[in-house]
Amino acid sequence: MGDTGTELGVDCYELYDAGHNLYPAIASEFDACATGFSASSSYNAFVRDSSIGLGYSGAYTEWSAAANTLDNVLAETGRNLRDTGQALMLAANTYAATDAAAQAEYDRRKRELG
Amino acid sequence: MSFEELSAHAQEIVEKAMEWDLERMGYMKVGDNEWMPRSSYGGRAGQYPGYGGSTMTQSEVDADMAEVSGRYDDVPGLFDAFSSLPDPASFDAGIDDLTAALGKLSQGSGGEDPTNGSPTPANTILDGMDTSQDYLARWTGIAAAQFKENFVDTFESITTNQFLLTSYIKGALEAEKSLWDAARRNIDEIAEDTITALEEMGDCGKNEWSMAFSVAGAVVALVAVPFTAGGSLVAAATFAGVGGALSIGGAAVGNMEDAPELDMSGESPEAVIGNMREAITKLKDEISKAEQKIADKMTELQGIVDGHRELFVAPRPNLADSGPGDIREDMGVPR
Repeated sequence: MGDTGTELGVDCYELYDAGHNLYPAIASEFDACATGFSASSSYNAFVRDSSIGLGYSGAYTEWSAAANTLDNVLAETGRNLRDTGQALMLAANTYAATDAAAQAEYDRRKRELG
Repeated sequence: MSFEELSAHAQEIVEKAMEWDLERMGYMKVGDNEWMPRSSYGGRAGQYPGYGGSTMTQSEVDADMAEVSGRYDDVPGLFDAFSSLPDPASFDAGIDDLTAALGKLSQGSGGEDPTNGSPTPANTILDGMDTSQDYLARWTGIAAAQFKENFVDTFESITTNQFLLTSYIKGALEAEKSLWDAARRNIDEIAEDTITALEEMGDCGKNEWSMAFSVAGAVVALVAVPFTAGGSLVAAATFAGVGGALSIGGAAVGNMEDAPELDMSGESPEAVIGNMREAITKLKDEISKAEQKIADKMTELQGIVDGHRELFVAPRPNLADSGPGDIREDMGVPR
């Protein structure tokens, strides 16, 4: 038997807190990493005469492949966090709606704690 | 001297070498790049039209000039290739962006950047994941439990691996920056040493000099650091990156290679410039070897991420795709 009433309201608020506050804030950090860095913006830094080093753009191909992979894993982490946060908020609202006391506690905490 | 004057240095080398040769062939300088045969020098004395009684014809003079300049006409081209070397400062923007990313990915008690040993203060926003761990522990649904187990519980180790990955990619840029800083200094030193050697050919004593190729030590091998497997500290893959000598400085992080040296000597322009050509070839070779290290490390790193993607990003949680129709089943009940 799961929580009901005020206890369920507290549980719902925790999901809301994770989905509305914690995960979006964390996701923003990953988004900022991913969007704050662009491998292609460093391309010109590698360019030189083709007789020098590893050719016209040197190690850019190998470096940018790794850098783009980094960009992808950071963006994916941010996306997963944000979408899961949405699901947690949906859960919080869904469960709170099943119980009047839970809804009251849930609403009170959202008002007071944000 | 400076790198920006490389073309002027190349021209000066050609002029000094030609000057030495032409003076010994009986010519004297009468203006900028203008030479005339002396009137009474060796077999060239006589009636040269227009100057001091030399017997040389204009075509003979032209042939001498062509022969001498032909000995060195490759010199400007040898330096031209270096005049467009990458600017070390042009890597700074990328390094700064990746340094900022490190600050966002540092968690717990803070991370240490393996490319330079710098401590990186923890980003306390990431602590929110610990808070949510407690929240989710009470929910019994399979999707909720899977999310906690596969995403929340592994968050710290995966973020640590992302931090290391970011650092190694930044380290490669720092290595490139150091490489081109050293390459610019080395090509400038070759030009400067060559000019000095040309000036000292007639002096007493042996005309000897050496060239140390610091470019070889610009890309530093770092100590190996393991990527951790989710939840445990078991090393799932180990990687030793590269960094730049400029950013590492004297820190005993890696293994600085001794700069290879080339000993040179010469008492004639042909010998001095022959040494210069050898030094430039050696410099190109050392640049290629240093940059190959960077490329190889990035390929190795890419292989590790491709082969162990689960170490760098958690699989998309089922919960992320829950909708109104399945959210109750996915979350279960709170205990």
